[in-house]
Amino acid sequence: MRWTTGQIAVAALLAAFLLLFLVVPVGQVILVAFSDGAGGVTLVHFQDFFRTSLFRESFYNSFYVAGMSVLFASALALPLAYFTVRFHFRGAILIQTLGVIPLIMPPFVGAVAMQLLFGRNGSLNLLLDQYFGFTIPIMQGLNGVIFVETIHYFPFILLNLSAALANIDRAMEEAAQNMGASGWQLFRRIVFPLALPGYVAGAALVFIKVFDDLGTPLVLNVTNMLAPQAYLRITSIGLTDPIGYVISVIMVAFSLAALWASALALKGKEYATVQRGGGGLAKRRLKPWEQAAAMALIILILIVVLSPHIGVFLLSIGTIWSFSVLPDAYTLKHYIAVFEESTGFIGNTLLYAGLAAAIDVVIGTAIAYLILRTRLVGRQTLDYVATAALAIPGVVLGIGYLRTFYGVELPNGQPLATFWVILVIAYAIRRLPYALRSCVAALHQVHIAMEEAAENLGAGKATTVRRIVVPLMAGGMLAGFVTSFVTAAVELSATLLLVAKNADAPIAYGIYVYMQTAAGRGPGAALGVIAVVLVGAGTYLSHRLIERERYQSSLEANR
Amino acid sequence: MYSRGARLNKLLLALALLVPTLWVPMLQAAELEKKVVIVTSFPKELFQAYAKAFESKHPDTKVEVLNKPTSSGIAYIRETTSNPPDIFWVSAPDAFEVLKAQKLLQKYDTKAKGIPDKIGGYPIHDPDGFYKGFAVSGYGIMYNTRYLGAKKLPVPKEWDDLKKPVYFGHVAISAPSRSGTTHLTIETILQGAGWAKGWADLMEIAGNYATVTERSFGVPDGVNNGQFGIGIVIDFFGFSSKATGFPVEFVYPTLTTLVPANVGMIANAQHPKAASAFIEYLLSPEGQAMLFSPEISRLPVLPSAYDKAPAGMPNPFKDASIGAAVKFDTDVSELRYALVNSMFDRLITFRLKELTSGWQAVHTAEAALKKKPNAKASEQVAQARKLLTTVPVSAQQAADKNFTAIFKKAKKDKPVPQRQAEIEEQWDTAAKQTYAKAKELAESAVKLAK
Amino acid sequence: MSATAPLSVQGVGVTIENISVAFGETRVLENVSLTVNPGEFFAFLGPSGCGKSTLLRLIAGFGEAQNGRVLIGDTEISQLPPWKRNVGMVFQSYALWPHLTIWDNVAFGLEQRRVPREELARRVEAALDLVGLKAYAKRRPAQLSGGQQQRVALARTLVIEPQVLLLDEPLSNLDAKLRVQMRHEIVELQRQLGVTAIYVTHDQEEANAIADRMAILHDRVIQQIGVPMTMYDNPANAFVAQFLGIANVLEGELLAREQLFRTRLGVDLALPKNLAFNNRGRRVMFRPQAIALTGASGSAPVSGAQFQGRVRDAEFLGNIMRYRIAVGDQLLLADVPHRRGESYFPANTAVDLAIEPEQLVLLPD
Repeated sequence: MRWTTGQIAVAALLAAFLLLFLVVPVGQVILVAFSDGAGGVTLVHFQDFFRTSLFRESFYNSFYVAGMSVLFASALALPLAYFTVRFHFRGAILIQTLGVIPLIMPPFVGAVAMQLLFGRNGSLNLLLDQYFGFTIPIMQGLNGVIFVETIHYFPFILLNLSAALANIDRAMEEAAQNMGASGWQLFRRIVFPLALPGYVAGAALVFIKVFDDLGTPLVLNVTNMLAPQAYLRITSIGLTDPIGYVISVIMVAFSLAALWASALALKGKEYATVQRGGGGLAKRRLKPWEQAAAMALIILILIVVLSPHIGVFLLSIGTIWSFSVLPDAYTLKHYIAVFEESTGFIGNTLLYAGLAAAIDVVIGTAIAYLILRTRLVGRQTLDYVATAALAIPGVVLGIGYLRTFYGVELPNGQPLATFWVILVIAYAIRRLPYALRSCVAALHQVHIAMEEAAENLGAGKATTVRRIVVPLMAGGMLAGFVTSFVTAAVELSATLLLVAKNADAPIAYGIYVYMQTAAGRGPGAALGVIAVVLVGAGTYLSHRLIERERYQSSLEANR
Repeated sequence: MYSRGARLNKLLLALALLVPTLWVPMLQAAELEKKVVIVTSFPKELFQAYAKAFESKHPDTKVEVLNKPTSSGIAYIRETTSNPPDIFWVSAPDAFEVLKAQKLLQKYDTKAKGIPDKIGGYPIHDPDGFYKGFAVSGYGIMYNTRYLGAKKLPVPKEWDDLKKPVYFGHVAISAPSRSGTTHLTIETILQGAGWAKGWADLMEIAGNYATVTERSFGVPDGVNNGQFGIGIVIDFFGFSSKATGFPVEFVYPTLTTLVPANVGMIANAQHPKAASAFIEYLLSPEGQAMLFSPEISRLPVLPSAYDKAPAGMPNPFKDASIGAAVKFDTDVSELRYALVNSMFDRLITFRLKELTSGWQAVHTAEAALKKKPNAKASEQVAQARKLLTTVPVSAQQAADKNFTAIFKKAKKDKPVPQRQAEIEEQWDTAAKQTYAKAKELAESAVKLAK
Repeated sequence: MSATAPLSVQGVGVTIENISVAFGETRVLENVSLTVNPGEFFAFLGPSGCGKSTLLRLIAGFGEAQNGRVLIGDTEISQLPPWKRNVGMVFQSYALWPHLTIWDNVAFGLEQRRVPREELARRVEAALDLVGLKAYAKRRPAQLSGGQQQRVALARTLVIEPQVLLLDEPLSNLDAKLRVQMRHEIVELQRQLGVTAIYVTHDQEEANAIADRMAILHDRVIQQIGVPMTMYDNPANAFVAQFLGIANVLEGELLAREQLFRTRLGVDLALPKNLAFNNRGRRVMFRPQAIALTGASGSAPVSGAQFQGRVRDAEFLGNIMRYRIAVGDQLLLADVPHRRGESYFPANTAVDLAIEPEQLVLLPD
C-alpha cells in the first residue's frame, strides 16, 4: 500500500494535535524530572527513585493492585458479557447499560458512599458485627484499593469484550459445537480466544488505569503506591520536587510497556473474523429456570458493582448517615438545593463530555486506521503518544495547560487557558486512550477484504472509511465513545485546575465544592446521582440505537 | 452560582471568536471595577455568604469565585501571571508564604482598625504586609458520639488522652504536608513540648491512628461517617458538622493552637479597587461578625466582634487557655517547615502500618505486665517505647539552616550537601527496622510476662 | 491420498419428517420430508434462498424447526444439542479457527471426545494424511491457500468419524479447476469411508457429478427427489427441468389418442410409446442435444417431426457448438458435438431440426 496525500495529511493533523495539547504542555512540566536545577540535564533523580525502598515498594504495590484488579474485573465482566451476547433474555440491554454505570463514579461522593457501605464501620460491617461478631476489612489498605478499582473499572473489559464477542463469525462457534464442544469448553477454547483482541484491549486499559489511578488510593488514604506518591510530591505546597515528576515519567513508561506487551500477545495471530451476514454468536433462549438462575447471578453482580451508586443515592435522600446501617431519615431537600443552585453544572458536563468523547472517537478511528491499514512511518508513535495520556496525572496536564496556554490570548483578550474549550480538550486528551483502544480492537476485527471490495467498486479511501469501515466498527466506536463520555463526565483533577469561571464548571467541580463541607454531603450526593442518571441515560440511548440496527441486520442475515 | 444564559453566552463567545473583533471592556476609573476574581479553598458556605453580602453592598461589582484546593490554587496563580485573579483567600499561611517568595502577592495596607498584632503569640497579619489574617480557628478533638457509645470509649479531652491504648485504631489526622493548618498544630505541639518530647508525643498518638488522610476535610468526613471515632480537626469542621446534624462533638484541649485564615491581594491584580474593597469588608466589624454564623463558625480577629458572640463561642483574646500556652515562634516554624512535613510523612504517614503494629505490641505488653510484673520484660518494653518515640533528627539538626535547606526547594546558586531523597531513604529504612525491632521486643516481653 | 481408510465410519440413514421452518413471518421450509440411505451421497440442490442450507443446519442442530423431526438411523435427534449429534459439518467459510494451528484445529473434535493422547495423535495424523496436508500441521489457517483450508475443514470433520457428513456449499470459494478436483477428492473420500454424506449446492453440475441421489428444493418445498440422471431425463416439473440443465419447452396441445403433441408453432411431435398422460398436457420439453440438426438443402431422413429454422447465432463451447435457432417466433437451443475440423452453420443459415419421440418429456401443468 502506498502512502496517499490524504493519509499523510491526517497523520500530520493528528501529530499536530497531540504535540500541541499533550506533548508540549506535559513536556514543559515533567522536564523537571531531568533537570539538575542549574539548567543542565541529569538522571540522578531516577537513581534516587530506584534507590528508595519506599518507591520500590510503591512500585510493587501498584503493580500488584493493577494485576489483581484485572483478575477480579475479568471475573466480573466475563459472565456479564457472555450472557448478554449469548442469550436472548430480558434485561440483557439493562446489563450492558448498568454495567457501564460503575465508570461514572462521581468524585468524593462515591468514596464516601463506599465507606458508608463497606468501610470499617460501614453498613455491611455493622451488620456483621451485630449478628456474627466479626468484621471484614474490605476497604482497608491494598485490598480496599483492589476492591474499589475492580468494581469501578471492570466495564472497560465488559464493553470491549462484548463488542468483540458480537463480531465473531457464527460459523466459528457452530463448527466447534459440531465438533462436540459446548458450554465452558466451547467458550474457553474457541469463543474467548476469538474475542481476545477485545479482552486484551479492555484488560490492558484496566491494568494501566488502575496502575495510574490516583483518586481511589487517595480517598482510601493508601499512600504506598506510585500515583499517590507522585501526586503528593507534585502538589505539596512550596515544593518543586523533581521526584514527583520522575514518578510520572516512570508511570508513563510503564504504561506504555504494558501496552506494548499486550500488542505483543496478539501479534502474529489472525483475528479478522467479521463476516457480517453470519455475525455474532447464536443467541439461545433460556429455559425458565435457567433464566432465573442467570438473573440471580447477574443481579448479585450488579448489586456489588452498583453498590457505590446505591450508596450515593441513599446519601442523596438521607438526612444524617453516621455509624448506622442506613440513614436516619429521608428527605428531598438536597435535590431541591441542587436544582435551585447548580443546574448549570449539568448542561456544561453534557456539553464538555459529549464533545470530548466525539473528538476521541474521531481521533481514535483515525489513529486505528493509520496503525492497521497503512505503513506510514511513525504511525506507532502516534499510538504510543496518544496512549501515554493515560498515565499523565490530571494535575500535570492541568499545570501544563495553564503554563502553555495562559499566555495565548483569544481575540477578545481572554487567555486561551481559561476558555471552556480547553476543558473539553483536556478531557479529550485524558480519555483518548480509552476510545483509541476500542477503535483499534474494532478495526482489528474488520477484514481488509471488506475495504478492498469497496475500493474495487470504485470507492476512494475516504468513502471506504466512511461507508464501510466506520459502520463495521460502529460497535467498538460506540464502546469507545461511551467510556470516554462517562469518564470525562466525572473527571476531577484537571478540572479543578482549569475551571476559570463558575459558570463554565462541570458537575465534578460542583460536587467538589459541595463535598468540602459537612452540610454539602447531601447536595453533593444529589448532584452525583444526577450525573449518574444523565450519563447512564445517554449510554442507554446510544446502546438502543446500535442494538436496533444490529437487530435489523441480524433479521436480514437469518434469512 | 450559574446564570441561565450562560450557555447561550458560550455559544455567542464561540461565534465571536470566529469573527475577529475588537472587544475591549471599558473600565470606569472612579468606581470599583465590574468584578473581582477570588481564588479560595474555603467551603461554599463561607465564600458564598461573603460574596452575597459584598455584592449587596456593591451592586455593580460581581464576585467571581474559583473554588480550588489550596495546592491547585497556588498552581493556578503561578501559571496565570499574564492575567491574574485578584484575591487569594485560604487558611494556611504557608501557602501565602510560597506565593510571597515567588513575588506573586502584592503588599496591602488595611484601613481596618482595632485588630491586634498577635493572638496567642502568633502574628495575625503577615509582618511583611503581604497577607492579612481575617479569622482564627482553634485545633481540637472531634468525636462521633454514636461511635464512642457503641465501642464504649471514654470521651477524650486532652491531647495526652489520645495516647491511651483504649483509642487504638480510632483516631485520625490529616497529613501536615497536605494541610497547612495541621502543620501548624504539629508545629505548636513541637514548640510547646520541645523537639524531642514533642515528637515522642506525636509518635505515641500516631500509634492510635486509624489513618492519615490526604485532605484536611477527610478527617471530619470520616468522623461524620463513623469510619473512625476521633479526629484531630480544626474547630469549624466540628462546629459545622454538628450544626448540620451529625452526632458529633468538638472539644478544645487545654493546650490548643490557634491557626489563622488569611487573605491577600495577588500581584498585578486586574481589579485592585474591588479587591481592596473586598478585603476591607472582611476585616470590617460587619464582616467579622458574619464569622459567627453557625455554618461558618470561625473566630474573628477583631476583639470587639466578640461582644456579639453566640453562647459557647470561646474568646481567644480573653480566654487564656486557648492558644496562649505556647509562644509561637514563626522563625523557627519557617526554618523547619519542610523538614517537619517530610519527617511526619516518612516516619508516620507512609509507615503507619508498621508503626501502629509496633504500638499495638507495646500496648499488649504493658497490659500483660500490669497483671504480672517482670523486670526484664519491663525493660524490653521501655526499650520498645524508646524506639517508637525517637526520631532520627536531633533538635540541633532541626535548627541547622544547612540541614533544613535540603528539604526546601533547591536553590540554584547553593548546592545542597546531601540530597533530600537520600536522607529520606535513610529515614524510611531506619523507621521500618526500628518499628519491627520495637514490635519484636514488645512481643518477647509479652512472652516473658506470661 | 492414501488408499486405505484409517478412519472407521458406519454409514447410517437420515430421515427428515415434516419439517417446517419459519424466521419470524418468513416461511422458509414447509412440511419437508425425505430419507437418505446409509452410505449414500445425497445432495440438496436449489437456487440460493430455497432453504437447503437451513435444512442441512437443522440436521446439525443449528436453528429451530417449528415442527417435524430428524432421525439419524432410528434415533430421533431433534432435541439433541449440536454437540451431542456426532454429525460432521463442513462450513461454506470453512470456519477454521484462526487462533489454532492446523493440527489443533483437527485435533479439537477428538479432544472434546476425550480421545486418549496417542490415539488422538494417530488419528489427526491420519486425517491430515488423508487430505495430503501432513506437512502443514504447524501452520495457522491464514497461511494456507483456499484449497488447503478446504481440506483442513474436511479433515477436521472426518477425524471425528461422524455418522453423517454434512457439506454446506464447501467448494463455492474455490476456483473452477480446483472445484472439480476437490469434488472428486470428496467423493473418493466418501466412498472410501462409507460415510453417509449430505451435500448442499446450488450448482447442478456439481450435484449431478457427485450425488447418488438428490433433492431439489424450491419455493419452501421439495420439488423432486431422485437419481440425477433420472431426474435430468424425467423432470417432475418445469422448474426441475430448467434447473437441472437447458430445456427447450414448447407449448401446445396434447392429442392423447394420436400420441401426438401439437405445438403452437403448428408442428406435430410424435410422443414416445407407453406414456402416461394423466395431468399432463400443454407443455413438452426436450434437451438441446436431443435435436438433430441438418442443413436445409438436404432432405434429411430423420425419424420424428421436422422443423424449419434459421440459425440466430452459434456459441462455441469447446466440446459442443450451441446454436440458437429461430423457429417461428420461438428460440430453440441445439447442441452439436464438435470434432476437429468440422465446419458449422453460420448465422442466418436455414436448418432442419429433428427430434426423436423418446427425447420428449411432457411437463405437468
